[in-house]
Amino acid sequence: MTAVATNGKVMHRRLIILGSGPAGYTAAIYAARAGLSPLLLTGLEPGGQLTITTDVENYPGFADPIQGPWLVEQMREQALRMGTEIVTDMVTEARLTGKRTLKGDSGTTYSYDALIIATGARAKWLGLPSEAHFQGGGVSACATCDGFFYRGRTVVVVGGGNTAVEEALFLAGIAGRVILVHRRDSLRAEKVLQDRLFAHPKIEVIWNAEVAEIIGTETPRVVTGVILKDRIAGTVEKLDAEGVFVAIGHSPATELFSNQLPLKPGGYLRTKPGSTATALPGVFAAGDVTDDQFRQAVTAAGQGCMAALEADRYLAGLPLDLPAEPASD
Amino acid sequence: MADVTTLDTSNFEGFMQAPGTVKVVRFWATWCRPCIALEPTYNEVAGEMKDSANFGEVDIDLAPEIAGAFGIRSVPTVLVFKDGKPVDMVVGLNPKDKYTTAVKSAA
Repeated sequence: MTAVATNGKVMHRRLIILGSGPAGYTAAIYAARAGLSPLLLTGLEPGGQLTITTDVENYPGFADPIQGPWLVEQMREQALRMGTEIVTDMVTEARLTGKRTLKGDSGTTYSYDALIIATGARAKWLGLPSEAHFQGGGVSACATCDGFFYRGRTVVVVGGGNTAVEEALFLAGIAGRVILVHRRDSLRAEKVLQDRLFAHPKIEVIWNAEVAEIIGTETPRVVTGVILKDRIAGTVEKLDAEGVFVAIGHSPATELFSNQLPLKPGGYLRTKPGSTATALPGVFAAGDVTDDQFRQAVTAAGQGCMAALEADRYLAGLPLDLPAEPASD
Repeated sequence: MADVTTLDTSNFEGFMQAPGTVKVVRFWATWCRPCIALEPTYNEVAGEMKDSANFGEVDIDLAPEIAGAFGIRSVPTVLVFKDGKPVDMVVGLNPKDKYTTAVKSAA
């Protein structure tokens, strides 16, 4: 069932899952099948990062490329079918000790016996004042949302990982010219993506450079270019472009928990080795909110599964480090 | 009348000139997932604040001219107008209070 939370309510559930990406939905599927009747709170962006991707070629089970939004929609449907209660709400306050309550943006207060945190990560920005100034006027972190506006135009993509290369390739299908600016002399993206990037006639790469400033006009407030700094020569050059797509990675969405749970460097939630258990009993973490290594849809799904199995053991009063029962499905 | 008016080139001018000084317009597209995710929030805000502002929405595929006229380069974008002039712009998918605050400060 789905529901929209309404003001002033108090809801208690044995298991609450925060987040609606692959980690959250997989946790929900396993928890529902275990009879835990989980409640899943979607967060601000239902479906998470997959909803703004296009082709997914590395999620096993699909021989042909599938679309990210479709994949996460299927996960949602599966979680619903198994009996998950899904509520569109965003937690704005969390008290993980004592009363164990979560306050939703809707005004509803939630309490739980066990909690799975799968709040994911959000796009990082460069942090330049000019970047904030021109947001909505040419600065973007979502090529699938904003690529539309750059038909035949020149755009800059900043970054060197999978996201940056995927965004550059997506934009190359629309824009006239795509310039990838990377601060190092090699990319971190998968080889198959790099091969496509280097072979694409519309894409150029500027190595060892960083965006020092984004420039534009005031009426209308739109981008006209970037100032690039060469990190080796120290020289500065101006590059004309109408769009700047920032794809320099993601930061884990942990600000609600940062003073209550131990974090790893980079702000990721710390879990016990080989487990999704955090330092607080009954609180588990899965997916990009804790994963500073792999950050894939499939690893997030795997961790969501682990979190649900561990939450089930916790709720049954069993120690978490028992050898797993053989489970064939 | 619905709380949110569907706008295109045929009725945009009329919407902007209708009585009521504050107008709010959401620019969106069918292929933009964050736009779809924002829709229920926007409708809620429109329902709650319909007495202090008029709310509309523009599908940028159907009315690219309107998006172009306001220099829209990102969706979803919500523009708040007072006396026919844009006074605030909220870009991306944000919590509800960001929209209610923007409308309140213009009203």
